[in-house]
Amino acid sequence: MSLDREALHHFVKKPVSTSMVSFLVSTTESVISIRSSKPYSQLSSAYPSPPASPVEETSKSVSLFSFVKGLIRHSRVQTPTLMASLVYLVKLRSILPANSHGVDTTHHRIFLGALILAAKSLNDSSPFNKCWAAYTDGLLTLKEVNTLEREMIGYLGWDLRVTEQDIMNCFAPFLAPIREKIMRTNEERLQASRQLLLPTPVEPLAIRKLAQSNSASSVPSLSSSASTASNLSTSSALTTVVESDPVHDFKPRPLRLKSITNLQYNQRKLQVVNVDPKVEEYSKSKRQSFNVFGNNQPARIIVES
Amino acid sequence: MPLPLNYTLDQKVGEGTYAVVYLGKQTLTGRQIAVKQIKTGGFKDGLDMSALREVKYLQELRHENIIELVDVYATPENLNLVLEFLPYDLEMLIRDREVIFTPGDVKSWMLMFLRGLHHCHRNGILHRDLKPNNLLISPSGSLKIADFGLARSLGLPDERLTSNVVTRWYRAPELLFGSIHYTEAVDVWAAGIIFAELMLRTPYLPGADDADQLIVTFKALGTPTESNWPGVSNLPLYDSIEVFSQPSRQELRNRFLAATEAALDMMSQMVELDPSKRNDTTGLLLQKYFVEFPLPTEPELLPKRTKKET
Repeated sequence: MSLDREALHHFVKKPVSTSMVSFLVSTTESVISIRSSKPYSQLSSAYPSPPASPVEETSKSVSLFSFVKGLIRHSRVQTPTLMASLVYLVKLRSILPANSHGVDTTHHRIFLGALILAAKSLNDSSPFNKCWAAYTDGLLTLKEVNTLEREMIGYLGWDLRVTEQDIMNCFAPFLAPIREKIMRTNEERLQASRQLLLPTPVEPLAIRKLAQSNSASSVPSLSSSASTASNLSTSSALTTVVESDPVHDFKPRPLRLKSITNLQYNQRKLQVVNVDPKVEEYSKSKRQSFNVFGNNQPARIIVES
Repeated sequence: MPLPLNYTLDQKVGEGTYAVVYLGKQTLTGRQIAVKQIKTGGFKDGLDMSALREVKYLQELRHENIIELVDVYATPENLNLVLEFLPYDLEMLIRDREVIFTPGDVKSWMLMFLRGLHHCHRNGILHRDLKPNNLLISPSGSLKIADFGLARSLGLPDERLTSNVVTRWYRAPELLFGSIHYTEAVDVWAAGIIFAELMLRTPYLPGADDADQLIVTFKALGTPTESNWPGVSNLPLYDSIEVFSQPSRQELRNRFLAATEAALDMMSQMVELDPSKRNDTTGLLLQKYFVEFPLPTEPELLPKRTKKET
């Protein structure tokens, strides 16, 4: 398993952190700029938009951060769903024309749209739209939620696919520190085993990888709010890192002890161990090409006789 | 976004609680297509979840043994999936008494079926509603897996899944016991029951209701116990049920008279009670069954439906 994938496996199991919320917020803000004076309908001329929702003078404007945090708390979505939402947001950013502008609640709407699509397509049960409307604490009505959902899927061209590469690209800042920790732990284990079995020669590849990782440690880390950065300094802390869960902290969670040695999460991999290596290799390569291009060709495991 | 004008809807061919199916043509190419129009009630509660899943998984899975999603479009009242035109399904063939199946025909359908299923599974997607009704046949004889409304991708091993999936007759024992941590093995079980149905030409485990399904299933294949399936008693709905012994090889031979030893081997591996002992699609595609004689019939030569619309 590649290091990237291993890091990803750790990441999806993490509880939702404040830095994750901040990352979602900053990504949402980067999708479109806000110009309050412009009506919402000028977002794009290609797709009919509802008129600007009436804004009360008292202004129920909620900061995007608390809006996002509130949605996550109410709907109890977990990291994987948020990851898919973020991929949709990043796609939307590349789809929207550069000169488009939004109104006050546009950021709230596009975030909610991405979250609903991700939750509905990934989870066995997802809140109904009326619940999503309730989760917005009065900011949006059911009708508005229904409209924004359809608008969002329209912008995405009904394409809800999320590839592994999408995830890797979008979450590079989060994966880099995890990757580094894994490498450090691997190195420590190597050291330990070297001491146990003295005559064992040094594994040159691992050393080389480590060297690369050190030089590449300038991978962009998240802004000041990134708590992941602080984990970095505690070197081999991976085996005992317990991340606090500010978003879900209303309910007690068991401590999550991460252990590299425990590779049980990769159960499917373990199951296929006794498969013909050729078949396994073939299906792997197919899977990779699938992830890159999305529309792979029909596969034939058995050669027709 | 494609306009509805790109397609003509000529004839209504089916109606369910969830969708209406029309036959039509792609105006530009004249290609025959089927349009699954999902009733949305004016989208009162947003986009339908199973429709969204069907769209997502059909986009992800492109394979000659999986139905092709040609296009998707929404009108103010409906969500429309434009699908490849597939005139009939395997259930119609199984029921058509004028059609004779040879062992090579059954093998050919199973081969195409398992190839399509293998493609789903290696991409981490469970179908969760496999039955003859959802295996469609193209005009050239190819079998294609359809109806991904209950499909989902397999996430983390500790994720909770709903056990209320799969049509009753094809439901694996772990689902009957209410398991919420199941795997691709539920699809393999359903495929095994379909295999049996193809050989018998009648449903293999037709339970009258959920309670009866347990009895019918275990009478035929044995009752799961801690000795043949360690951990089974921890499943939510596990109850002390009447213990039927697992069928002997000779009993299976008597039930499936025309089956070869290799065919029985394959079926037994698909309907293992313990999901962790059940074979996976990769293992099944490498079975002796597929390389021994008779060889699988060429798809174009497979039996076609004799009757027109019923």
